[in-house]
Amino acid sequence: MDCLEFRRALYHAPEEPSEDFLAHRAGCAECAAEASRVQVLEAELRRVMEVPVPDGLAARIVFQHTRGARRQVSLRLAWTAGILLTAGTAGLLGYLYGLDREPALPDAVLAVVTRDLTPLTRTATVAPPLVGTTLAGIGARLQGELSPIFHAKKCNIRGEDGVHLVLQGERGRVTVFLLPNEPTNNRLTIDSGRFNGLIVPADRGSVVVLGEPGEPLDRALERVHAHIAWK
Amino acid sequence: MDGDTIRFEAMVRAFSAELYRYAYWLCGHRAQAEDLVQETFTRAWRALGSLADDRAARRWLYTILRREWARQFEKPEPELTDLDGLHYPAPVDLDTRIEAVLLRSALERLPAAYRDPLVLQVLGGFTGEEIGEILGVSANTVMTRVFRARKKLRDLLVGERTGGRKEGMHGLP
Repeated sequence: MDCLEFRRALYHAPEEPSEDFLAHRAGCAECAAEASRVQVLEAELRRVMEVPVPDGLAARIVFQHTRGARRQVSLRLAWTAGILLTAGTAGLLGYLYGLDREPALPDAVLAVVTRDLTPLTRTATVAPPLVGTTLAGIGARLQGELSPIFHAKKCNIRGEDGVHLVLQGERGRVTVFLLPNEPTNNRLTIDSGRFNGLIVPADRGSVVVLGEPGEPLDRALERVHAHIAWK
Repeated sequence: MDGDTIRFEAMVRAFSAELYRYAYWLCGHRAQAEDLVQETFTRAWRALGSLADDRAARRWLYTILRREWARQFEKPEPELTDLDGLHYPAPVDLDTRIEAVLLRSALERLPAAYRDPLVLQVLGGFTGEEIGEILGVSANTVMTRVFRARKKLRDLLVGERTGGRKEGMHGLP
C-alpha cells in the first residue's frame, strides 16, 4: 500500500483499518500523523452527530401506536356488531361509535404538548410584559400576578390562533391553552394516561388546562380565570 | 399483548433514538425529525409481516425512514452542490465547545449527498454495501461520497481555523 492508497482508505473508513493499512501506518510517519488527525476528527464527528434525543420519544411512539391499534380494534368490533345485530341494535352501534370517537380538540391539544415537551422542562420564566404582548395577540390581557410562567407563545390549533402557556401547578407544570375561536358549551375531560386535562367554556372560546395525573386542575383553572381577562 | 406488538415495541425502544438522530441530520429540524420517526414506525407496523428476519430490522427501518423523507420532504436539488443557505436550528443541550460548534457548522454545510452516507457510516456503523442499499446507490458511489465528505469537512474546518486559507492534502484528488 502506498501513501495515496493509504489516504484513500483512511478517508473511506478510518475505523476499519486493514492489515496493509496498519503496516503502512507503522512505516510512514507522515501518513501516521494524518491518520491520527482524521481519527480525532472522526471521534469528534460522532459526538457532534449524536444530537440529544427528545425525552420520552419511544414512549410517545408506542402511545400513538397503541392508540391507533385500539381504534382499529374498536372499529372492527363495531363492524362485527353491526353485521350481527343489524336489526334492532342501532342503539348499541351508536354506543360503540360513541366510544370509539375521540373529540378532535383533546387530540389536537395533546398533540401539541407531546410533540415538544421542552416548554414543560424550562426553568427560566417569561417576563410579564412579554406574556402581556402574547395575550394581546388574541385579545386577552394579564391582570395581577399569574407567575411563574415558563412558556407563553402564540399557537395554532386546528387552524385557529390561540396562546399556549405553561404555569407552575401544585404537582408539576400545567399547560394552558387559551382558544378564543374554539367555542364550547360543555366541560370535557381529557385522560391520555400521561396527562389529565379539562376543556371548559371561557368568556371567549374555551380554555384548556393539562397537567400530570393528580394535578388539581380546577384550581389551575381558577387562577387562569382570575388573572386573564378578555378585552 | 400479541407477538407482533411485543416485537414492534422492542424495535421502537431499540432504534427510535438512533433513527431520530439520522432523521435530524436529514432534515435539520427537531419536530420534523420526530414526525419522520413516528411515520417510519407507523409504516413499519403496517409492513411488519414482510420483515422475515429481525436481525435485518435496523437497516429495514433506516430504509423506510430514508424513503419516507424522500417522499415527504426532499426537494430536487442539483447533486453535490453546496447548500450555503441550509440552516439547522440549534437544538437545546448541544455541545457548545468551539471544536464541536465548528464541526457541526461544517457538517451542516456539507451537501446532503455527502452528509447522508457519512451519517449512516459514522452514526449508523453501516458498511458501504448496506448504505448503498439504504440510499439506492452502488457501494462504490457510497465510498466516493464518504471520501469526499471527509475531505470537504477537513477543508471546511481548515478554512474556519485559518480564516479561509486552505492547506492542500498531499496525494489526494
